[in-house]
Amino acid sequence: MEKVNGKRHAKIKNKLLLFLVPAVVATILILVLISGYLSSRSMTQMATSALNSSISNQADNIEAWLNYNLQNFSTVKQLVEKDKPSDSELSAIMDAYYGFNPYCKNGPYVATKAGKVFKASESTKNTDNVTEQEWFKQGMTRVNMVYGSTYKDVDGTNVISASGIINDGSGELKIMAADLSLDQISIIVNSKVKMDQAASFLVDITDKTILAHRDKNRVSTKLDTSDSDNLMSAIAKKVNERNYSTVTLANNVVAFKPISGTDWILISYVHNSTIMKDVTKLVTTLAVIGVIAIVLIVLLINLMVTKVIAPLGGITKNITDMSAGDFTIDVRHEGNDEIGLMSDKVSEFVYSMRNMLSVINDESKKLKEQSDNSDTVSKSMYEASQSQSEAMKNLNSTVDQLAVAVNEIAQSATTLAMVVADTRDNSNQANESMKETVEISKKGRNDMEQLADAMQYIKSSNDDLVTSINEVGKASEEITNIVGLISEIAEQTNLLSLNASIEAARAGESGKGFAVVATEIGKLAQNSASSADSIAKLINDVGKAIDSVVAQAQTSAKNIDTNSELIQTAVQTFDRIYQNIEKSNELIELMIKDVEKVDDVASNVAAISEEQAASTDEILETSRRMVEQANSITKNSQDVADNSHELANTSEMLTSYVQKFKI
Amino acid sequence: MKNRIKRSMAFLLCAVLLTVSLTACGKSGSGSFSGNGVKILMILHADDDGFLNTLADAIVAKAKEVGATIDIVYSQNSTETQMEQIAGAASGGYDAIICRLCDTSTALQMENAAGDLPVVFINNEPESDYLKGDQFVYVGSYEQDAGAFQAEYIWSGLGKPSTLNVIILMGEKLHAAAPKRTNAVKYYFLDNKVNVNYVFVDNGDWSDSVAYDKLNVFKITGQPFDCIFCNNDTMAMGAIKWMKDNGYDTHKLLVAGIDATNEGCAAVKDGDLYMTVLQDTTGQGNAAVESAVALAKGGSVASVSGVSEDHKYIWVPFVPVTPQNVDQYN
Repeated sequence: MEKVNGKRHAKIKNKLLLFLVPAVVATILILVLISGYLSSRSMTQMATSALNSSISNQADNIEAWLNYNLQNFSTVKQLVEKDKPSDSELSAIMDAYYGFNPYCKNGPYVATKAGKVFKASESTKNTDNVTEQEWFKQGMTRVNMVYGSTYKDVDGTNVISASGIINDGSGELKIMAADLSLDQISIIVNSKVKMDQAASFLVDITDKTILAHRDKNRVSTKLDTSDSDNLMSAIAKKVNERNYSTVTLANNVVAFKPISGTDWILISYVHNSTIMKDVTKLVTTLAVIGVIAIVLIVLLINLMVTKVIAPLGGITKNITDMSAGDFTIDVRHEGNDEIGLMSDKVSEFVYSMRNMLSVINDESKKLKEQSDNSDTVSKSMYEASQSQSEAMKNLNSTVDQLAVAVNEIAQSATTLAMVVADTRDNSNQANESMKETVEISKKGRNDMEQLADAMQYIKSSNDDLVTSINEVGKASEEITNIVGLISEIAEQTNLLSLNASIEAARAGESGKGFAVVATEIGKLAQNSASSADSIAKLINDVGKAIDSVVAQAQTSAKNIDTNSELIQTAVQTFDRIYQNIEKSNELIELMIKDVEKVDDVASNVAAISEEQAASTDEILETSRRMVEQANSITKNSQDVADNSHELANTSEMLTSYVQKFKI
Repeated sequence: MKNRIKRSMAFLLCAVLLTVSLTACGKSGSGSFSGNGVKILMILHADDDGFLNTLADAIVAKAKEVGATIDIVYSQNSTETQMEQIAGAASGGYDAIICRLCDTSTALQMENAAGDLPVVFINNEPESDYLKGDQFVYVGSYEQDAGAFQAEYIWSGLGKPSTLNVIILMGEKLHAAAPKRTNAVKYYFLDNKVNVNYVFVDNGDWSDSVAYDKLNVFKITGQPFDCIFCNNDTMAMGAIKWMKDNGYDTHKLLVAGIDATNEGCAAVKDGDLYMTVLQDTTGQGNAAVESAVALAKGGSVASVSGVSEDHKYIWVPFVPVTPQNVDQYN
């Protein structure tokens, strides 16, 4: 299993075991303890009751044995009391009972207060000082035979005597007694213990003498509270208290049982360890079984848990694989429990993830392509916008130049207008001069007519005439000068119009109107030029005519009379001159009109040029903005390019991520 | 986890509540002395026992007081008859038995015959082994106390001498009370370090004539005596008669009885009987009926006063009767 952040992966099984095992151990421990406690209690109780039962049994045995013998003796006594035998008969009876009772070999015997003794002839009973004997004294205190206290017989054995007054109505005190060896009681006390490991001993409570004990040395000794044996001293204390309930003394369970018909008490004891031995054995067995049970249960739990959570391992592996991106896994699902359901759901999840991932993969691929495309598009767009920007810049500079040119046009037009105005002024002056010439021509004609009239005067006036005609010659020369000037102006205007036409052509559509105007101006200038040429020729003609006039006048002067007709002719010529001058005047006026037109046009050109200059500024501004926009388009397309590049990267990354999943 | 703890707590609480309520029920059951509807069969060994008749009267009176029904049958000293009577109690519709055994050694037999019915033994005490707490119980007086009272009063009456010649007239040999009363006397002197010479100790069989005869035999021995302890008043009457017949002074040689019978009390008044010990028949009767009713209802004798720890015995105290207080019990 992969380790994440170094965190240890605790297995569910271990966790379950961690919970279950202590619980099981605790439970079994509690079970063992409780059953140990209960069984120890019940075993102690059982042991106590076994001890009680044993001691009861022993006591019953002793009582039964004592009663049997007592009955036996009482029968003899009854016989004696009933038959009232004579001394010899009594002796015979005693003899008859000798050896009859194995526990009382000597048989019963009788003694009187006077000291007479009747006993079996073979009896070994010591009957010296008979009335001083214990049995005799005790016998005196009852009619019914009762056992007295123990004493040692002549042969050293411990015996008890049953004795009683023979109530035969004789009035003489006769005591019948019979001895019982305590051997049989010792056998019962020491050997008839009905409980394993238990022991008993018999005590006479009147003087605390131990009558029977397993330990021979204890027999006939006193039961003393200062006994070195803790148990014996504790028992002695208990006996002194006459508390005969079953108790635990010095690690022994001790039971007491008074023997009825005697002052004896039978004491039985068993060491706790004997009782506890079984308990210990039981507890040990329980503990062993407990341990085995724990081991088995742990194994079983382990097995069960393993079995139950085994599919979990598969699922865990699957999930681990999934987290590592592997969706090619095949989730096994078995069982219909929660784990089965879990694997079902994981399987479904894997299936849907697989589908989803493949869809994402496809989509990201598409996206990548698209983003690549858009990258390319944006790049080309960038380039396009860059070139557009470039073009716009060019346009900008062109428009700049155009503006400069238009300004120049405007200036030129203004200059033209001024020149034209000057021309007009000059033309007006020419006009004035021409009018004056007309006037003068008129006057000349009148003068000629007067000449004609006063031919007589001609001779005198001929000089005047020649002078006047010279003056006319001078004026013609001036006109020729003016026409030359006009011709120059026309030439210059023609040049200007040519220039304007070129600029208009350069300005394109917006300069079209201007081109027309320029052409018109050109035409007008040409007309002006040709008119001026014509004027010049005419003036030349006029000069020649004047010259001939002068010559003729001189001739005429000489041939005035003769030349009256000639004068007439001269007048006519004057008329024609006048007419020509008038015509020239008209032409000059026409020319002035044209010049005015040129002025208007030039003004218009100037205005238009100014407007155009303004428009050119707007165009410039617009083209600057267009440049900016083109720049921003460039930048944006750069951004777009960047973004689409980034998008391409992202989609590539996405693709790479998705491709990490194995599907 | 939390839930589990909660659930366990709830369960525990329920268990505790249930136990408490059950205990409470048990207590209320035994706490009532109403014997309404309880049917008790009293089986007595014979109808000629003076003390027992007094006790029987007290029992009947108490039964009437608590509203229990009680019937008395006599076994005519026959164990056989007694067993049949006990065995018939269940079919007779009785809820409890009060029994004075003919013979204490038949206790187990009688208990088996009783089956599920509880038995309250009176007057004649079976061995402890054969009693069973809250089922087979014994109502009586602590016999040892009677003997001890006798010894104490007589010894004091004689001026607490260091040596004593003592005659003891015991009851029937098989009667459980006889050795207890006798031994109690002996133990008293033993404990008080009195040097006692038991000049005559024999069974008077609860009878004045037997006592008289036995004392006559004692006369042959010619031994002196300072006092006569009788296991009951009847034998004391025989002893007093014997003393008077033989010229003994009953005011110098003291006689003690037990039971405080009418005769006994009269003798105490007269001064012939130095003292007697009252077996509180009223107390024993009350205790017997209370026990029988409690057990009949399936309860416990725990609430009856004088009950022993193991619920086997209900001890009704003895009362010493002397000329000073004899009038109360006459």
